[in-house]
Amino acid sequence: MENTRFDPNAITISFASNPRYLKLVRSITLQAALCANFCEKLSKDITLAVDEAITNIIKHSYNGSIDKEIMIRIIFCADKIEIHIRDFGRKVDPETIKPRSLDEIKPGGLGVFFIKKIMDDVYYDISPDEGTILKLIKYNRNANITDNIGAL
Amino acid sequence: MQIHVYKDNELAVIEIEGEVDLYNSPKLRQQLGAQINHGILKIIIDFAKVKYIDSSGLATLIEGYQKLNKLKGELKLCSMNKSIMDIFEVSRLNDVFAIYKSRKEAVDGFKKQ
Repeated sequence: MENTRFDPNAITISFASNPRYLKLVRSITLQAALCANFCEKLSKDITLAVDEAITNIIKHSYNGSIDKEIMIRIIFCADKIEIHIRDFGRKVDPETIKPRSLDEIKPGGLGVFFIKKIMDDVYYDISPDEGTILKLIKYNRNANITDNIGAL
Repeated sequence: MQIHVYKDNELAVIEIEGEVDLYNSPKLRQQLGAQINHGILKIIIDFAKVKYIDSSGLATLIEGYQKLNKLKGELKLCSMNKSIMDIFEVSRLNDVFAIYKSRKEAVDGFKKQ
């Protein structure tokens, strides 16, 4: 991650690019979104977006390798949750990452569709020397997220 | 994820239990492929015990759907909870797959054909 300094409003986890960890990451993400006072439906949606992002990293950035590093940083801001997903694999060209048309019936391309449909902002930071940081942002204008985290 | 297969003549019901993601979807792909390779062309996937599905799971279903279509077979889905159904609706796959409320309705759907 570009900045792994301690932040009282963030949690960071690092894990291998093994699909067996997806369930664990989903569990952490769901709880984080619920703690940030997103409703259950939105929390599940955010969890799906993170799952899809990690799936894409495993499949495309790491070509299916199961022993590469993935880092997730969940940042609780006053009116939004930011989830930064860092890989160290093949750098993506953001211009080429597009969801497929829903009129096409084919197996691939739905992951990006879900990510962009669910999250308010999706940004690929390719500035690191190695890999990419995918920044997913979801606003929650009805909640003071950092206050809720403090109440845990 | 666990998969149970129930066969009745030319029909197979694949019952999935758990979560269908990148880790588990190869098991579903293998089971779907095995039924098709054994000449079963009428397949129902029962989602009653499915808690989660992502695009890897959906891709596996689309592959099965396309394989069966080429062979003049059909894949029907049934018994989805609301959050699974939401994913099908958002991705408009509810327009692609024949989705039934219950396994019985899906079986009856094949009998009527």
